[in-house]
Amino acid sequence: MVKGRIVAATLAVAICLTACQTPNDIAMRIGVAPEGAVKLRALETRRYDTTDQTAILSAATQTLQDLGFTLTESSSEVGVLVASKQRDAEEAGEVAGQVALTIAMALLGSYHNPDWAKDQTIVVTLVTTPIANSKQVDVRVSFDRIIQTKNGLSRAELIQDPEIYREFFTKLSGGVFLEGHEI
Amino acid sequence: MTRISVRGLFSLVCGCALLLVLGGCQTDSRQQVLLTDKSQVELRAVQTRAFDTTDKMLTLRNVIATLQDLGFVVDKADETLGMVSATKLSGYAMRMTITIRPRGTTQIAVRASAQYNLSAVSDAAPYQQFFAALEKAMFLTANEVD
Repeated sequence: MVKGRIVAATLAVAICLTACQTPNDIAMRIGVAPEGAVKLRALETRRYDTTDQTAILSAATQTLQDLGFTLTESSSEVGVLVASKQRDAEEAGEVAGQVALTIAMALLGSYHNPDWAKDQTIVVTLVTTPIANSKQVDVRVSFDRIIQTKNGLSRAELIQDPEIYREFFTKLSGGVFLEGHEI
Repeated sequence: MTRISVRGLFSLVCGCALLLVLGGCQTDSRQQVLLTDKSQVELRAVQTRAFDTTDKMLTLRNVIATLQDLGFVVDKADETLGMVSATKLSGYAMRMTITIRPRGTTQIAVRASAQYNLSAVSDAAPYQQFFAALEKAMFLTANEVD
């Protein structure tokens, strides 16, 4: 009984606290560079010994086509390429967990609507930036994805898996016949 | 008590069976970022044709016209990069990107890549059909490349 009251009180406080947050507070927090921004930049960037931005972008379109991406946006003067692909996002483990939870809840006499990731839109942005006073170009690439669940909910996340970036740059370097340097 | 645990066990077995049916074999959907079902070399051979022309602009225009003839709506075209993206919605969603690049000094390579609903198109047939239509628009033969 006492425990129940404590939980209720904590919940009430929590609700009050969240309600105090203004959109401005949230905006301020979003504006701050995320932790590990420097590390992320290093992960996402490679430097190539060339001045030909268009050649890099053109090679990048080929690599992206290899990976099944459809190009959705491009601006060659500013060196921007955006591509996306839609794929299956169902994971065996998550489905199993949800099914087990539904069964457990049913046994306890409660209803749980199972929900799991159904499909995803993977978006890639590739930006080339010439380095001032040098004959080099930086290529920065970032992958993110929006996951849609079975029940129509969605969540978004930035892909931060170093292995994925490393492998992408290996493929890109093969396409431009150049070695990308880590910076 | 015993009845419940027997029921529980039964449900668990059912759950596992269901999981095997539903879950497929993917364990980490993040791997889809770089996942392909054919090698780069195989894909490029299937998706690319060379035309005996050097007129990039004309090729781009013919590609757009062919896409429209096939019922696609053009989403994006970039002349500098030689790129067109288009979508066809007809009870399904087919997205296609075509890139046009000079090949040597006398040819232009046209590469098409498509996705059908949630999967990449890697079979040769759909591309053959597309290039057959493009050949007619270009009044030129689509040469296979290796």
